[in-house]
Amino acid sequence: MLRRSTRPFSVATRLAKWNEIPLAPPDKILGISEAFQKDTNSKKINLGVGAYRDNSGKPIVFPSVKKAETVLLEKETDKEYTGIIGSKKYQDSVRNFIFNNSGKDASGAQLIKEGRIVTAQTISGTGSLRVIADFLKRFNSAQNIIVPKPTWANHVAVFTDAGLSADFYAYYDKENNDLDFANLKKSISDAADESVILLHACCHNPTGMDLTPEQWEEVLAIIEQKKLFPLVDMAYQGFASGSPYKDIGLIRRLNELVQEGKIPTYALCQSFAKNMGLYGERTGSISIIAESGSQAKAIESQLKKLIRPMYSNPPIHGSRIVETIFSDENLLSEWLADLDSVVGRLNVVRDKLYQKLDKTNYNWDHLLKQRGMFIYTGLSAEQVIELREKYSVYATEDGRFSISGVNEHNVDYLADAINQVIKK
Amino acid sequence: MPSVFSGLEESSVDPIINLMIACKKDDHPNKIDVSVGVYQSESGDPHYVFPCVRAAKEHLMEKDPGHCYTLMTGIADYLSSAQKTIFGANPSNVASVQAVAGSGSLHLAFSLLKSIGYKDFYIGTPSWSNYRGMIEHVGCNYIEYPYYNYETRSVDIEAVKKALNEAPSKSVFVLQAVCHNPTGCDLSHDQWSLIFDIIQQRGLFLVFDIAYQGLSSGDVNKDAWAIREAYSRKMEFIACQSYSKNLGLYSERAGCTHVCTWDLANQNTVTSKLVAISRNEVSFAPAFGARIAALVQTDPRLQQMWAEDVLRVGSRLQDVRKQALDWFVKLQTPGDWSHILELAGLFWFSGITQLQSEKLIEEYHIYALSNGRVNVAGLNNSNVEYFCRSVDAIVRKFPSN
Repeated sequence: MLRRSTRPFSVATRLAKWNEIPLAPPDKILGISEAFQKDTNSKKINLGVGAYRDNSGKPIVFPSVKKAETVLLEKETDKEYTGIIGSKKYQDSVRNFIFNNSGKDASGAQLIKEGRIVTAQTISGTGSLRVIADFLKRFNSAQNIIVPKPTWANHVAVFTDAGLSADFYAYYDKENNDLDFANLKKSISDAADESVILLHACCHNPTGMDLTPEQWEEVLAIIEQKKLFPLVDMAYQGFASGSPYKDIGLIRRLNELVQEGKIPTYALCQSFAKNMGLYGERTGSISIIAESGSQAKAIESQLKKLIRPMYSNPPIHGSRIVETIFSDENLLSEWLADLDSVVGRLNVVRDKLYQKLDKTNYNWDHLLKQRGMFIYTGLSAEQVIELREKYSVYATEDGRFSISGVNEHNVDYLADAINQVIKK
Repeated sequence: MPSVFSGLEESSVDPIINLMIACKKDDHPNKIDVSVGVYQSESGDPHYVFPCVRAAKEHLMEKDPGHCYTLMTGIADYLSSAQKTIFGANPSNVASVQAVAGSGSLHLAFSLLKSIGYKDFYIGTPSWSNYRGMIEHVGCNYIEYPYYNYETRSVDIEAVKKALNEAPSKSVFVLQAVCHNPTGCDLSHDQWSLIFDIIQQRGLFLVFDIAYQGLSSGDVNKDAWAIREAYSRKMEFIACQSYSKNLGLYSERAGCTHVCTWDLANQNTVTSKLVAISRNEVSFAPAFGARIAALVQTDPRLQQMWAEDVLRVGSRLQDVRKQALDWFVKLQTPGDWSHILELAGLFWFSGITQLQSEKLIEEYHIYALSNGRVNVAGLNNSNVEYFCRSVDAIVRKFPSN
């Protein structure tokens, strides 16, 4: 047997390489959370994280979710591996929930019947975006995606990391705090034919400003004409109207256009992070609408091939909760009520804040148009920093406030702070 | 209308999946499933839940931590306890990030290594089938060398040494720390030492895959020997950990990537890079399984239960191996079966040929992998005799050579 070497082993080359790893920039939102944690001001407010908090500022477990967990614990489910793309039951539940829309979407129902919708469970919304990005990189003719400006901070990185090139299309007019619809249409029209286009289904992140049905019609006409591939991201289903079944007008319209042969295919990324409060459980899905049942089968097999070498298969705790809720009518209506009350609180507090804001020199009307978990204040980075340093109000420097951090106990303090900052 | 998905073809499925489907459909009362690598209890229950896990779930139901976003690196208690389980203590120079079970932890490790210029990954054969795809997925190459000697039914240490000595200096070796999948044949302490010597001398990089910690000796500490030894030698390496088997958390996807780096200035950098990789792929790993694992490893009562659970599982596997050997001896089954006792963990590379394994399915409803891998957890007091008699009959009817 060889003796242990007495020669000091050479790590020089390897350490040189390790030293080349650049320090990746910290996630901005989490950086804010950390600074917030350290702040000792008792009046501090965290408006950074896009997760729901109740009126006392605490995170909640949806009562319907808790009941589903109780059912699961009693049943003692097995822990064996589910499929690479999740369980059949989860896929069916999600497909039926979104594309059949509680029996109200005839086009979607037909697509399901024809086996044209491939649904795979993914690691929440990020995972679904990554899987479709990798898939498009491998199989789509166009290798570029256009995303709204602004968009979720991580969108571009997910797509470019998968090897797609990303570009922006106009979305928001910061001067007037409104949708920049004319430029939106123009920039989409200027994009290369067949580009992938990212659409936020509802509650646009970060602006909270959605298109009207009429505006969607115009955009979809351009998409059809330019043969763009619609990639819909739906992270906040239910947060616009309070009902998940009402927030999917875009999906229903796309299903019609697919049935009419006007738009051949599209894809949908969604998660239950927000609307079931399953954030940390990483529960989402990717659905791809194929041109035929046989194409759908091929796509499904390729999704499996793609996911297997990344993480083998998705986690089941969250997906079992989803399955349980969708397979029990009582739980389903409880969940719908839970969600409605969550969204109701956000709307109440949004109105309250609006009422208390000083409108003499500042137009706050955009607050009333915005929907979802955020208000896009239009405040400058300097103003946001001043809010943080002087008033312990923590938000991202793009002026996005997570409305869920506001409640009836701190809304006056927040409004006062904002009023002070905009006075200057 | 022309399709955007030009050239898309249906991808073939993993052959193990077809075997699983066939096995599921077979409802013969004597059916034995020794195929998929999951633990089954003495009563043959593949849905066996560790008592400590059950207790942890009840605890979580009462003291509900909710489902909020966790830190990007993972749940702090989980990371700390995962380190203790692997290293025996919290080492000062290990960057750990929660991962989507064993596969996710390997993917993170491979992605990190790729980002600093490593591209050649050495895999001993036979090995877990997913390594190759995982390495190619991150854009690297895999190179195979023989790990197992089919003649001697043991580790082909000469071939392993040869591969280590001949690999270019910037190569990565992926080695299973314990309970080798699929052979069940582990390196001895002396062999590990020899391997570490060469790795250190030649500036190679080592990735440990530790998916079955505790299932060899019945003690998670003993089964971490190789990693702790590498650590005490001040080697730099990555350990990829999974709780799928040793806590039965399979589909909850609890894992961890531990990067051991001796330049302390690198630690934050390494962590930040791992977080950045995750951020663009899955954001971060799921909470529930990690909360269970954290509780089991930190609560003294559950810790004790877990140690007992693992010991029971390890002992049962060893016991059923003994019983199998006794039967083969008693039946005077042609061939040398004594190696079954020298192996550890779930797997036994039986030497059963592809034809024999097909016949075992056809004639006896016994499902093993076509490469001869038997998951001994599928055996128990009530079916081991039937299993051995069936193998005996098949080996006589369809001799290996």
